[in-house]
Amino acid sequence: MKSKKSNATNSLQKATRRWGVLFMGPVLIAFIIGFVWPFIQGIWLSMCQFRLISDAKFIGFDNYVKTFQDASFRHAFWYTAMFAIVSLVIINVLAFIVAYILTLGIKGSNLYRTVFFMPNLIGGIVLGYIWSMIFDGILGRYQTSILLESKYGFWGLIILMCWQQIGYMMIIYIAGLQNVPGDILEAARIDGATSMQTLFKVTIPNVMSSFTICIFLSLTNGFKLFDQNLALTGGQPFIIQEGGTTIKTTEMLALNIYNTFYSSNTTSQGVAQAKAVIFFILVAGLGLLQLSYTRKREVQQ
Amino acid sequence: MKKNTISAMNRHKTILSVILAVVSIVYVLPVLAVVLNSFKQNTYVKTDTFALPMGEMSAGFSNFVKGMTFGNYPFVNSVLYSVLITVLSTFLILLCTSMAAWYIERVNSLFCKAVYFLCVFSMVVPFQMVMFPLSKTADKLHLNTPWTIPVVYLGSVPGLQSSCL
Amino acid sequence: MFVGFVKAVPLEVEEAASIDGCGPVRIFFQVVVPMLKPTMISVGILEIMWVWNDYLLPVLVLDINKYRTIPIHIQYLKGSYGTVDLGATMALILMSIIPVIIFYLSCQKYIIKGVAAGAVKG
Repeated sequence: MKSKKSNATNSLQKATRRWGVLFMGPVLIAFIIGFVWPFIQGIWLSMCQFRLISDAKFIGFDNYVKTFQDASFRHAFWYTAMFAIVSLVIINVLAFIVAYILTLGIKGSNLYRTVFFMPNLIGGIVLGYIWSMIFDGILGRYQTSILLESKYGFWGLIILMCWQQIGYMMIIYIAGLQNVPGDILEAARIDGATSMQTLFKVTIPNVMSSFTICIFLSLTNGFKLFDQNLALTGGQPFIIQEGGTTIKTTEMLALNIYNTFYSSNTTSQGVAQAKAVIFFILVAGLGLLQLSYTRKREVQQ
Repeated sequence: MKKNTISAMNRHKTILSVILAVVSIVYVLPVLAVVLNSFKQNTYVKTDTFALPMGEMSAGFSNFVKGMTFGNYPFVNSVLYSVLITVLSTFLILLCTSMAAWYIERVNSLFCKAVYFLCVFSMVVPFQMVMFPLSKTADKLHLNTPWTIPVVYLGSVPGLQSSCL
Repeated sequence: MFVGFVKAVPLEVEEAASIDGCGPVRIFFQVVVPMLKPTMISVGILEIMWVWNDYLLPVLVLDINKYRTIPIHIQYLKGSYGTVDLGATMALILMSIIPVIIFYLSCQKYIIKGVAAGAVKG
């Protein structure tokens, strides 16, 4: 019986293999066009000087040296890191509170959930314009604008991201909270634990995996943010430094790279690609960190 | 005693419910502001962002009419292209990735494992990394129309991760 | 994400079909696809949300003088003029988010399920 079964599996596997081109072909071709080839080219080009790809000239690590000397890139890096951390904390705390309240069994929870998740479906560019209108409406009364002060731009972007992301994170936390076994909560209640004690000693340790997911998700989201940044402030206000370099005070890494690519400066494309490689290493590092962290957790459990 | 705690809990829930209701209203406000301002004359959007579009502020439906041809590009076209690209890409991605996933899982050869590893790897690569070469390659292969861009979506970084936003 | 779900599809059914003389292509479309349907809906919705709102990829790939998607159109309103008619911009934004909201309200259950599944199973 057993051998017959594996025979069937084997013959099916062989038959499937014959159709491999059909099953794998389309994805492979698209994947090579859309990822593998550009990625390899990207690494190569980061060590070249070029305007179009055809005129690339190998120049070694000059681009990387220039990147580290670029004040606007350094500024964008710290700005992005600050933004990612602040938004990470605010979004996750608020999202967890909302998720916790919504799982208490209040009337109309579904309606509230619907409302909180809604902004997530509106695209980044559109969101940026909605909020720039609102912020200008408010700040206009004080004769100022979101484009005039970088601190308004920073907090404006934080508010925007909270509005968009809380709903998303909330859904993940709700899924986690619903998986907390009811009998543990019951046991804690019978043992006379107050609701606060139950929350911190029982519930939160049980949703740790949701926390890990959300924290890394909001961290990488913060680092990769582009659309909202472009639409809300576009990097304004600008500061022109003594050496003639311009620092766009609310410009984040992704936008900085984009602007370097498409600036009028003829030598900047290589530098931009070098920046992109550094950006990739950063984001990939975060991803690996998350992976090893979740692995470790799974082993512990 | 028990009754007391239950009624206290119910009171807590009512309070929380009211708070949530208020927060939800605040949450919808930005969208409401868009609705209000879309009926307003241009000059009043900045000065009276949160006022109702009454009296001289009101622009009726003229904004919608104007919006149709605004920016030297017909709005209807952009809607059509958006729909076209979204439908085609989603269909293509679902079909092709599910086929490949089934093949990878069932055949499970060394080659399959390599492809799978590459896909997982592509998840951590930000778009900026491949942005410039990709746009040039796509131009060269004439993938720059709404009918062919789904191929780029299928192959581009987030297309294969298919679940991470 | 798909790979994880394919694992959950029982091999036995596919084997039975192959003993009945079905080729792999027929097995895939008639046996596997129906079983993957819930996953397909989740992935499809995430895909729709992403492609519909995406700005950077189409703006770089498409010939933007001829083809513009909604996000590109709205972004270029600001780019091409010094001062923009904000009233008309808002009217456009409203028109572009109404379909999204209708889509959301009608498929809400699937969307929320899809997001939860997508995030947890990655």
